[in-house]
Amino acid sequence: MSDPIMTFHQFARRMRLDELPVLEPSADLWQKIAGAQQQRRRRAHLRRIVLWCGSSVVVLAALIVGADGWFARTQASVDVDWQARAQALELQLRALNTGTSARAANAIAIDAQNELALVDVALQSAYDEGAEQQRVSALWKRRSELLSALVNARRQNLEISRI
Amino acid sequence: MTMENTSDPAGGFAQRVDAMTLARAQAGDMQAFATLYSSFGKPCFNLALRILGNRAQAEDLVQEVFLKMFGAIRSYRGDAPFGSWLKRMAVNATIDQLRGQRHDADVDAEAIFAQQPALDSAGPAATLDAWALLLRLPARARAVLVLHEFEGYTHTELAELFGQSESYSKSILARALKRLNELVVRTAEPETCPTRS
Repeated sequence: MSDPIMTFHQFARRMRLDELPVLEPSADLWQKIAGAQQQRRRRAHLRRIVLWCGSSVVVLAALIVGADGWFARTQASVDVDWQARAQALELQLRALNTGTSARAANAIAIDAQNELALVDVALQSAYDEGAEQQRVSALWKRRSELLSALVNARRQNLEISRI
Repeated sequence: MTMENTSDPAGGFAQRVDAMTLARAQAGDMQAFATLYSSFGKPCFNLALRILGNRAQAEDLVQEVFLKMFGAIRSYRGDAPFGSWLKRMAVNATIDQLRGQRHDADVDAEAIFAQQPALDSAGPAATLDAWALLLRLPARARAVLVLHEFEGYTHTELAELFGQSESYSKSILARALKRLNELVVRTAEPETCPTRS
């Protein structure tokens, strides 16, 4: 006993100690570990779903805002086209009217002129009321169609008078 | 009645893991994890129990180590045997737990042994049982002794583990063996004294 500096094994052999026991962990330890692991996986899965849903909502919102802006721009460009077309047709019609003294009017032209007057009134009230772009655009489209019909009618009359 | 073969409980950490089980575990297969637990749960538990000296704490530690292993196994590249990799994880977790125990946080060898009464605690119930003797050591001293004597850690490795110098673990180990010696002597004394009729 005077020399305690030895290995534990030498010490144990010398002292005839029992072996260290090799014990079994509780039988349900693996169930606990597996349960904890499943719980962690579920939480991670839930986190992923929440994250995915969150990003999907953000992407969807961005798409909606983007699409809305694109649609508004497209719609505006369509409106401008109809308006410009109507104005161009009106200039053509004026030129045709001043270019001839004969103003032989047919039934189509008379109807078109009447309706054109109504469309002009409707357009004016639409602007006064601050109506939606869709309504204004529809009126410009109709005005454009009527002017187109009048231009065609004038051209036909010119051709007839020249013959 | 000797101490041989006790450093390798139930096959210990030296068991081999087949590549298929390892690949399945890395893919997150719970059945493969169950296989790993059936191989390494027991050695892990006994390592923790020998150092911590408490069954409930040892089981908590096994759970902590295996949960950590589930998360880290994808990063296991096979540079070292799987058992060694897991054992290192278990030892680190055990040392961390010891560090967390405030009453055992002293790093001075004197202070560690001063915390626990030496000879007086060896009552009549004390026997020449290695486990009972080990439990009479302060936890940090028990950790040094178990890791050095049973798990083959060198003093250099112990110094790194505990963040201390090599002389620190050498000193702890020498004192631990001395303390055990004293305990044995004290326990054996009454038997050696002649009785008067």
